[in-house]
Amino acid sequence: MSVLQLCLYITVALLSIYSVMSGIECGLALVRLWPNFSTDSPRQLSRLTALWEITNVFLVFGITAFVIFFNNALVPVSRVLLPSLAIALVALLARACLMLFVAYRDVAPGLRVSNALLAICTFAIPLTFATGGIYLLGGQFFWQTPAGWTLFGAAATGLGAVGLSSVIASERERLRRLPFWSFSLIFLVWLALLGTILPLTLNHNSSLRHLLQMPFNWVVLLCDIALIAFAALLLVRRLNWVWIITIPSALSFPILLTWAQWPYLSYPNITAAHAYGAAAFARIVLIGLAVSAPFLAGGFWLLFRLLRSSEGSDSNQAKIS
Amino acid sequence: MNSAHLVAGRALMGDSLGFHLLFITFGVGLPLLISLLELYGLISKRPRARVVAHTWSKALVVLFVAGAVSGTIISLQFSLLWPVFMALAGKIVGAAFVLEGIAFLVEALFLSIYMLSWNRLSPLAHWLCSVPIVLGSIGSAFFITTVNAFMNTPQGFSLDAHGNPINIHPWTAMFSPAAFHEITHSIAAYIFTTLLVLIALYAWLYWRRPERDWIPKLLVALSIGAVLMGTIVALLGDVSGKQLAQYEPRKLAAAEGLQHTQSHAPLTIGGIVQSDNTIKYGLVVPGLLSWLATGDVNGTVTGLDAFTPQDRPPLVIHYFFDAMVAIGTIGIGAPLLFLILYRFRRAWSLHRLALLAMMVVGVLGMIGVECGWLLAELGRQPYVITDVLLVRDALTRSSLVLQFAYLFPVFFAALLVLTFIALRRNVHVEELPA
Repeated sequence: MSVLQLCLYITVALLSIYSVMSGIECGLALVRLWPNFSTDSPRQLSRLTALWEITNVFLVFGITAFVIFFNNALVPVSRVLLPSLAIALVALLARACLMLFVAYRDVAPGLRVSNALLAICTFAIPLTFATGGIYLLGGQFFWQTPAGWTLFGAAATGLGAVGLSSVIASERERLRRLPFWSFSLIFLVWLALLGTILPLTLNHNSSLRHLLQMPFNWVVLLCDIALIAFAALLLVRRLNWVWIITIPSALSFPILLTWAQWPYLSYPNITAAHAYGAAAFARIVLIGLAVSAPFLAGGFWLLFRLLRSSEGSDSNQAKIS
Repeated sequence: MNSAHLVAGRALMGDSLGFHLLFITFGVGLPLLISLLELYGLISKRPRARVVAHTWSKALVVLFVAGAVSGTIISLQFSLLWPVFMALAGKIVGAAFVLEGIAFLVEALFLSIYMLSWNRLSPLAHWLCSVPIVLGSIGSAFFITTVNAFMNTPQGFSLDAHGNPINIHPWTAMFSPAAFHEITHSIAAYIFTTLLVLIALYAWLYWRRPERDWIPKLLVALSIGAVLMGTIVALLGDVSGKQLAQYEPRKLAAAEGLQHTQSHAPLTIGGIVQSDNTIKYGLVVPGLLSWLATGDVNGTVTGLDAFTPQDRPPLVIHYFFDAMVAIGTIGIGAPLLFLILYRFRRAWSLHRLALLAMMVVGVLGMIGVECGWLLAELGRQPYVITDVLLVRDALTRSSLVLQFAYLFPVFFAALLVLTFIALRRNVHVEELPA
């Protein structure tokens, strides 16, 4: 693998991690609308606050990596994507205001305006970046093609599936309150869009047909495996394990789609090689990442242990051995 | 590009960075102070120190939430609104942007761990979690300031006939002549300002409830820190002045309104900038600028006449320069006076007038940081990268800039108000064991 490919996959991996983190945030924001399920508001909000910082950092980190590694593509790409990404800028600010408002005014869970706006903004941020990603895949906005709509639908349902599966994994004692079939439907629609409808629509779409290469078959295969695994979990009623399917799937789909679109960064005009402008310092960055990786991995391990351990609040006296 | 578009772009970036700077100050200063306080509590076995550190850490989280979002917005603005700048700077000092991202990630990750693990890890393990936050916050400030230093004194590359950078040396570019003094001066100033704001906050708390007899001792400790840090900032400021004279003479000349290159150059204190780009009614001290800039009262200082009129920064930065120096001086003097009074006339030091003065100094500290940043940025005008890229050439042509220029300040104002409300609701002074 060349340094260029390494930089590309690191960038996509960072954005994939962002998509998972933002999915978890979406789940937390979504269940706030659901008073029967979301009874422990302070606990969920403390998680939302803890995640918010890291999610934002991954977004900044991913965007910075894209901009820095592929700086030759920045001027044309930013000109096209500015109007759609402007929504993300506004949603980011609105969400910060709403989160501070909801968290510190102790807004109760339930179908309230502030909770609804928080959920909308939480979904809007990653979805606008998904819009940018879909544009890079086909050179057209998602609303211009059925395949684009399918990808966008997959992004929206994927966020919901990742979010709800992560909430369920940590709230297993409340599983009985879960609207079981609503959740199952979100998950099934997500996998069906990617595994069935997307290949069909791609065949009829000239701007995205180039994706139908070997790596794309892995997406379909992965979806099929995930569907079978999900069906098995439904049968044994072990939905708290669904995150084992959703999170790896959400992480791998963007990477596989990027692989499928190689050598293009933005189809059909900009190749990754043409966009790459980090030859002078890529090795410095890669060494920096390699040095910090074990440190960050240890940090994430500790964070998720803290988040998963009993009653994630300040007052808890239980010690982690 | 019309001038309204350019003004909107600059105003938007100015609003965003000016807002973000409020949080950067605490983002750099508070983690270090929290970590030191917690360590002190561990070593001296004083639970009070740990409780105060806990209170400050809750404030840090609220400030970090607002700072993280403004940082994210700025990161996206750079890419979307200033693509030409990012495309050029990215090729040369891109490593600094990514390394800043890594440091920021370390800070955010361990801040989450730190906050979730109060009373859940052993005290020593919990304190160890604060070390990466300090390293991350100072590291991110370090790397992003190297980019700013590069913008002020670009080096480590050359341009080909099409204006593309070639012969790039990333380390040389990152550690440009302005890097050392900008990094040290700004980081020290953030810590100094954080101390001044904490002094103001505790002065206010003591004003409201004078029976909190532990606050004066805390004020003494914070004042000692402020005097020490303020002195360091002043010494680094002197180095900065000399570096400006050598590497950024245009900025120094504009800051002092020095029209002609001359020896025995005077320092102008105060005054009013006139429409013909001169400064009148200021106190002029002959030879002082030469001495400050070169170490010799007869040293030669470059004036504005060495640059073409269209390349000269606005003289309004003279106000920011003077305000920054004046606030820095007051910021050292006020805590020093408090310490002297506390030692010899304790009742005077805790008099309401003294407390009020400390509160004012805290607010002035924040204004001082903003003035320093305005001096650095406006002093580089009309360039975004000195002598390489003009601001008007770096800005996107999209008309969305105009709408953003109106919309974003509204959001920033709302976020600022909500942050204050969140701080008041979330951060309570915890009554302490002795």
